[in-house]
Amino acid sequence: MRRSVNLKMLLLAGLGVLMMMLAASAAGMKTIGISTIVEVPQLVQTKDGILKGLADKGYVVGKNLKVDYQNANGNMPTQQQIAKKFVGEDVDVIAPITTPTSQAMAAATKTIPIVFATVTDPIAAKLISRYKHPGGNVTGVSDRPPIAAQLKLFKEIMPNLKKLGFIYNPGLDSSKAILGWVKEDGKKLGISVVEAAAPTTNEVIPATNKLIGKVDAIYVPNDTTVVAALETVVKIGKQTKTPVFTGETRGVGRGAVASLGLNYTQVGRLAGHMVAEVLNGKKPGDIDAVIAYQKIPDNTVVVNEASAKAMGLTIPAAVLKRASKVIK
Amino acid sequence: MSLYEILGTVQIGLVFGLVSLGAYISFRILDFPDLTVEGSFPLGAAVLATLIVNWGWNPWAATVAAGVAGFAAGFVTAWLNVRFNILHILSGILLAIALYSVNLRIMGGPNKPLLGTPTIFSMFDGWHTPAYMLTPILILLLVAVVKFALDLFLSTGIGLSMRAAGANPAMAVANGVNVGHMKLLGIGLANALTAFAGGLFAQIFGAADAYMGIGVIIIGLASVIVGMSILPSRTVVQATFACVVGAMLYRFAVAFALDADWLGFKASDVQLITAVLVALTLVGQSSRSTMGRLLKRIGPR
Repeated sequence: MRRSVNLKMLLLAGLGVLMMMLAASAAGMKTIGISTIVEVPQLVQTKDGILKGLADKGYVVGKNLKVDYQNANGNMPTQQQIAKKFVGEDVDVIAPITTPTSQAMAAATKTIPIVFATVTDPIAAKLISRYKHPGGNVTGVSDRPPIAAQLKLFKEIMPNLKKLGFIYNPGLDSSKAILGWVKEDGKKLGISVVEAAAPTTNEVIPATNKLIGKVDAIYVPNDTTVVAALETVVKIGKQTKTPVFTGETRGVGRGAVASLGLNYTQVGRLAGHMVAEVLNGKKPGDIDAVIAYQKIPDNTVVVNEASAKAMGLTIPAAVLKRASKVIK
Repeated sequence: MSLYEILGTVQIGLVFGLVSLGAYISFRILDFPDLTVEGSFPLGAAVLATLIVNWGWNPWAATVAAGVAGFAAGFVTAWLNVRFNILHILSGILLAIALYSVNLRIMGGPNKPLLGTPTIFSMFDGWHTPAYMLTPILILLLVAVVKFALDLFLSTGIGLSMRAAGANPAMAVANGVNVGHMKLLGIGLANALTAFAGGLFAQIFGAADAYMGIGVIIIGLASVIVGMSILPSRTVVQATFACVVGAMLYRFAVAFALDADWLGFKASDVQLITAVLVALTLVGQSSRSTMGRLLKRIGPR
């Protein structure tokens, strides 16, 4: 009796597979596979940007483009299965978002073109060996943040900035890379960095408290774990008059004093243009990988006057003038 | 679902078959709910990647070393429980938390790429048959060897003592079995299998990552339960087979969920669909549910 039930389930599964094959056979279209490890706002913006970039170049979803968008829900084995699915479908281009997603794709295929977006350091991740003519089947857009420009902005707002607190999740590759750059670029501006690790969102409060009194201001990098608790950091910042800056401009709308940064829709858009080039027949290895902030000419400056006041700062007129958005 | 995707799913299912065997030892044989695996899976990946990339080890040796590291982790968990009477669940949690930091130390960062470095699968590079066909075969061989070795082990004197220690500790002690030693060995073994799987997975995934362990315990446990509820599991040989099949079915549920977009599902629904599919499998087996009875009634006797 048990056996027969199993047989039925197998049959059912087989039927499902057949139906899926039928559903997938829409001909005459280019297919791209987009995947991300988790759905957080900036990654979703990147995805939307990719589609916008493709539309810029005449590839419109539903018209001449089919998009298979998959989210691994934070689960690496699932991410690996998504890679297998894309390769099995023999999509025309794979556009992975984030470092582990890109690595899973690169491990799964040496032939299908891969255009990554939002990978902070693609060379350290071994996705490409160089930016110019990377060779192989992989190219893409790095979202390395414009750290030097950011620190200059903070120094302009806060001329006595000497010690900058840095809250990050040490388990995120990108945050570790950013920490290195902040240290490096900070040294040139006379800013030293005090680290505070928060491996989970719950540990952001103790990490912030640890910094209070030891630093002139706090920098929250573009770290999904810490950004999730940004309001908490801002609250502590206001209570203790410790200015909070962020690595991402959206953080300013949530209460940080200022930021200068990348617009992730634009990052995605750059990647979208590269995907279009590949669809037009160019080899990914011949398309230079790029660092987004070098290609998007004007970084957006966003400041929050209300937060600045609450944290004991006045934003200089020169900065207000330059800002593309001022929150009051 | 393409052949490539099916083989890829089989491949990951087999790797998680090892995790499932580990969960079988800890949860079923020793009745020890061991949460160390959330840390020992990425530990295996971290050890393997570091040995290959930084130390230039042979990938096979590194894969074995991953298993050894896992054994050590499991041993510590069991030791905390046996020696200091720390609640089994808690000692597993402690190790899982600690291993997160240990893994970051080992790798010197959260992510260590294995792209373009030699792995146990790169030996297929020059062959005519494509690697995506050979890789699952190699993993199948490895898993089969592990499964039979485990079957053999569990029928030896020590293995029988271990099963007794889990099934009825009081009686085991009365018969001269050192239950503590059995836990040390068994939980060590379970985590050795998990870390070995982590090492294999890193080589398939193309990187070791600090977040690789998320959800591993759930997958392992679900695989054991699914496998055992749809397949006979009276003897050890049947039970271990059921574990591996269960892991495979779980991965196919995920693959099915990934392909469910034509039903109007969104990418973020994958976890839900997977859960529902696994639940349906279990419900379908239960003689208490209407659906289970229905399926049984239609089925030829």
